Amino acid sequence: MLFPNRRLQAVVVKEVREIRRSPLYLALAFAVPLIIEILFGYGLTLDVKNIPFAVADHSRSRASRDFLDRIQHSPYFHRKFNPDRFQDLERLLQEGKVRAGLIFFPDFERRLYTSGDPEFQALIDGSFPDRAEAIRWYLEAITFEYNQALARRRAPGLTFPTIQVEPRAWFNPDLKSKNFIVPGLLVTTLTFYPALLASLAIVREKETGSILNVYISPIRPWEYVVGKLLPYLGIAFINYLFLFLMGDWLFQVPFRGSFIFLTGATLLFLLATTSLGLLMSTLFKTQVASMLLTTVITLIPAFIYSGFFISVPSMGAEAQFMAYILPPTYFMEIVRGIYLKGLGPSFYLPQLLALSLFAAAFLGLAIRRVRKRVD
Amino acid sequence: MWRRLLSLLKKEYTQFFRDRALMYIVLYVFTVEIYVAGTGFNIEVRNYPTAIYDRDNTQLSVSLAEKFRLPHFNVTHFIHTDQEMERLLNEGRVSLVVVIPQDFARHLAEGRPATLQAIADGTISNTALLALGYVQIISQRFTQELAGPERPTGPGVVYKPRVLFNPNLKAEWFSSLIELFSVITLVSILLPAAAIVREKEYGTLEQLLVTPLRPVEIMLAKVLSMASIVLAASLLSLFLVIYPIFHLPWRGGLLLFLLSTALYVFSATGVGLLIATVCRTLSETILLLLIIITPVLFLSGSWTPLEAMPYWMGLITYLSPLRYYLNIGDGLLLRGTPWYLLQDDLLGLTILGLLLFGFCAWRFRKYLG
Repeated sequence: MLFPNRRLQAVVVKEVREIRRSPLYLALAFAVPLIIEILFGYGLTLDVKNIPFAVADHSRSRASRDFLDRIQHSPYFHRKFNPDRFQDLERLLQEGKVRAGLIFFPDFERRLYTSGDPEFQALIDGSFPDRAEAIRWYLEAITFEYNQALARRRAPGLTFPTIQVEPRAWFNPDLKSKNFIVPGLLVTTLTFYPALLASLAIVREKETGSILNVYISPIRPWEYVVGKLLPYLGIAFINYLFLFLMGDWLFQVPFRGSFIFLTGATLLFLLATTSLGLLMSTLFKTQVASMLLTTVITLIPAFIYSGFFISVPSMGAEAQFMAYILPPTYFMEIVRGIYLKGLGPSFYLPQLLALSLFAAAFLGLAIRRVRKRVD
Repeated sequence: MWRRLLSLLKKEYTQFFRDRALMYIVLYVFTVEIYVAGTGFNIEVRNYPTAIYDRDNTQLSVSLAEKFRLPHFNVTHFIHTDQEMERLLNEGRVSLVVVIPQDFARHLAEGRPATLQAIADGTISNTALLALGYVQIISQRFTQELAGPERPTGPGVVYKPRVLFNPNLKAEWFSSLIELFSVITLVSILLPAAAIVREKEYGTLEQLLVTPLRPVEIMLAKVLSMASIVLAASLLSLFLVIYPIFHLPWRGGLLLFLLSTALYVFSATGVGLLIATVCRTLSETILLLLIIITPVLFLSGSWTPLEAMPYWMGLITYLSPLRYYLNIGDGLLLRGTPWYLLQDDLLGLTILGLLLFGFCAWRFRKYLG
């Protein structure tokens, strides 16, 4: 006998049998997280690069070409169109075909060498604010470097005040996107996936009516809930192992911390998210409702509020509130810490405590919600 | 046919509105969720937690340190030792440390290049990169100030940026619209798929099939009811949240937006139907949904830019209706693009929508037949 408690074992056995009965489900249950990781690991990148832009160069001079060369040779920009008229720039921006339109006026070169200070205009598409901001900064930096090079050519003896910035990134020196996306995906996937798997476990029996058999049996609510929990926890744990191995082999993300700590923290987190799914399952009468709400409160928040793309302190107040009432934010800090900083459990006591509280609260509420009577 | 369709439609609506919980969830998703996402998603560098490590401690170094301020940098710590720096970065309390080395002012006075170290927490590399870039800008502007207005070396290029469509770069316009498009996608795939699989689970689908109803009618009823619910909910979120709370400027184009939304919802419900033909239970449905929805949602150029993707991945996105719909939606509601400039995307959405819906309808009919 696997479990000391026979009633608990009966629920586990029944649930496992039900899972095994559908080959499609079984295959998908293990394949879905891997497919998501492959797609996102390769496809998801937030680097600002190859920004498509168009130029209306009315100067057609060496000076304007020199200037454009600097823009084109940076990895950030990719020239796509050379319209003749300024109006065409605006049209291309409206169509969404370019994110920036650059304008050089006819007297660009002449002014640069005689009368003074030619304008270099840039129209920037503001509909993606973060990219607009980056474009604005990059172009400013390029203009500055151009002017400095020009000044140095004109007056080789003169000195200017210069500050050289030595940028450095700790924990991820090459600032590789995949080094934060792959550990981040471990967190997001293990947030929505176990919750969704478990979100149907109990409500399904309510909808089909087989829960009445549970009501009349001698089983206690906690045995029923824990029995439902264990199989899904098991699936999620195997998913975790797969995801971890894939991050290591396929994406070769550096792993600096302790595997044992990561596994322990993951188990705690999985307990919380699986219980969340079960709790949803006890709250509703229909599977559709449970499934939809679970998707909504896990899938999008896992990506947006967990600190995956944006650090939590940079968010608005409402979003920070969302971030801290949901478990993935805490787990994200732990996972990134283990992967990239190699820190141990002593650094993450508050986060571990938060995860334990979430797990206890979700599981406790789910057990309380299972009342053995017909409403 | 119309009478049968009407009574079926009535059945679908009754079923939807009777499930109060489901109704409220849909309402929540289209209002509160949009609001929270609108205020939350903001990849730019804002309030970036920063520490200043001024080892020079001169008038010059202090005035440089003062340039690091809100809204971009939130200087929370002034530190004096390497250990402090290490601790703050390790614990994630700050994401950037600006180190001004000892002879900063002396180097500048002697006309030698001074250095400035910027150490960012690279764990979220995209914001780290932006922050480091901004440090560069700040130091450049600082040297320009030092040099003063007169330039002995002659004229230089003056950079005049102008941001169109969203001049103050309000993140909430972008993120609330993207969230709306994501939610529309999610709901219009999920609801019809679930509605049909549920009938399968209950066995009521077979009951429907023995009635004089034709498969097309069953399908149309599902699609029309769900599409109309999604359209109504989108209007709700535009006029309850996005226009009044986020003050998105009115740029017209609403009619065309609704039309293309309808078209988009149809192709999405088509996908939902297709899923429904393969699955026997809702547990299977949810897994298939995930595998389709997550890449469609996050890799169609919504939350992340298309141009940064690997080339082959960019090609795949042409198969996603959301790619076209996003550009149409953003174009009409945010950029005020006239319809004739969106022809390509409208055409893409229509063709892909018809193909998807046609294929799915065909599969569904075959399945029911």
